[in-house]
Amino acid sequence: MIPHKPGRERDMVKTLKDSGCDTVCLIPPAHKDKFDITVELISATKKADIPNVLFISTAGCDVAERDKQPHLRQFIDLECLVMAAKGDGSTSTGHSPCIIRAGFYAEVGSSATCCLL
Amino acid sequence: MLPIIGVRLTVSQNLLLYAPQAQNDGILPLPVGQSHLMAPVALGDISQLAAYILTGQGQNGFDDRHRGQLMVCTGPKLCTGSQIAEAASKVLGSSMEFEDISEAEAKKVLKAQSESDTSELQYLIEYYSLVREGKTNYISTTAFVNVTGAHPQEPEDFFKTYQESFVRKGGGEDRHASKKRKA
Repeated sequence: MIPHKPGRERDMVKTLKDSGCDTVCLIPPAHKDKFDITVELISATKKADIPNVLFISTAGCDVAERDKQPHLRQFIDLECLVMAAKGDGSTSTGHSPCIIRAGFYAEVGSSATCCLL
Repeated sequence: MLPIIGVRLTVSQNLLLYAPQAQNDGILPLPVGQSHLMAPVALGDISQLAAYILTGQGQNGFDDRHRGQLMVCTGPKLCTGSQIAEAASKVLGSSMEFEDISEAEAKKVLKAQSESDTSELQYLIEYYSLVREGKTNYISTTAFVNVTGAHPQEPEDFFKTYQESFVRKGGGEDRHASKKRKA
C-alpha cells in the first residue's frame, strides 16, 4: 500500500514511476477536494507515462446541469481530462483508456483513489 | 504479476445509509418522488466489471474489446422508491415502507447517519434530484453482460446480502430522529 498525499503532484509522479505499474484505475474519492485530487492524479498519470487507464465515473453526469447538479457535472470535466490524453502525443497515457459510468450504488459508494497494476 | 497498490480515503454509503430507519421504523426514506425510477447497481458488479477490464490484455494494452470504451453500468431493474421497499420486504420477511421525504429532510438523515464528507452527501442529494427530474429512468447493462458474461445483481440480491443490516429490531419502537420528520 502506497499512501497518496494530495497536493504534491511531483511526488505522485515519482511514486507511480517507481512502482513500475503500467495500468491505473482512477476512482474519484469521497472527499471535499475530490475534483482537485482527481485532476492531480490524472495529471500525474500522464506525466508518469502510464498507458492503460480505467477511470470510474458516474452515471447521470451527462444529464446533470452545471448549476443544479454541479458535483455530478464535474465528472464530465474529469472524463474530458482523461479522454484528452488520447490526442496528446507527449504521453503514452490515453493509448489504452476505458471509462465506466457507474450507476447509483446500492450499498457502498466509491472509496479508493487509484490502484495500480 | 505486478503488485496492486491502492489508496483508500473515505467511504460513502447509499441504501445502507437507511439501515437504521429500516431497523427501527420499517421505513426507507428517500427524496426521489413517488413515480420516478432508478436502477441501483451493486458495488460488487462495478468491481467485477473493473476487474475484467483491468486484467484484460490485448496488443495495445487493455483487451481490444474494452479499450477506448465508455461503458454505462446501472443495475438491471428500474424501481420506484416503493418498489425498492417492496423488494426489501419480500426478502426480509417484514414490512418496509417507502417514504418520499423532502431534500431538507434527506440532508438531515444523511448527516445523522453518515461519516462521509459533506461533499459526498451533496453528491447523493444531487443524484436524487436527477431521479426527481426523470433523468434516471433507464437501465444500461449491455456493457456488463458483454464484458463479464454474467447478469448484474437484482435489488432482491442486494437485500439478501445485507439482510442483517435491514431487519427490523423489536416491535418497531421509534428511537430514531426520523420521528421528527413531518408525516
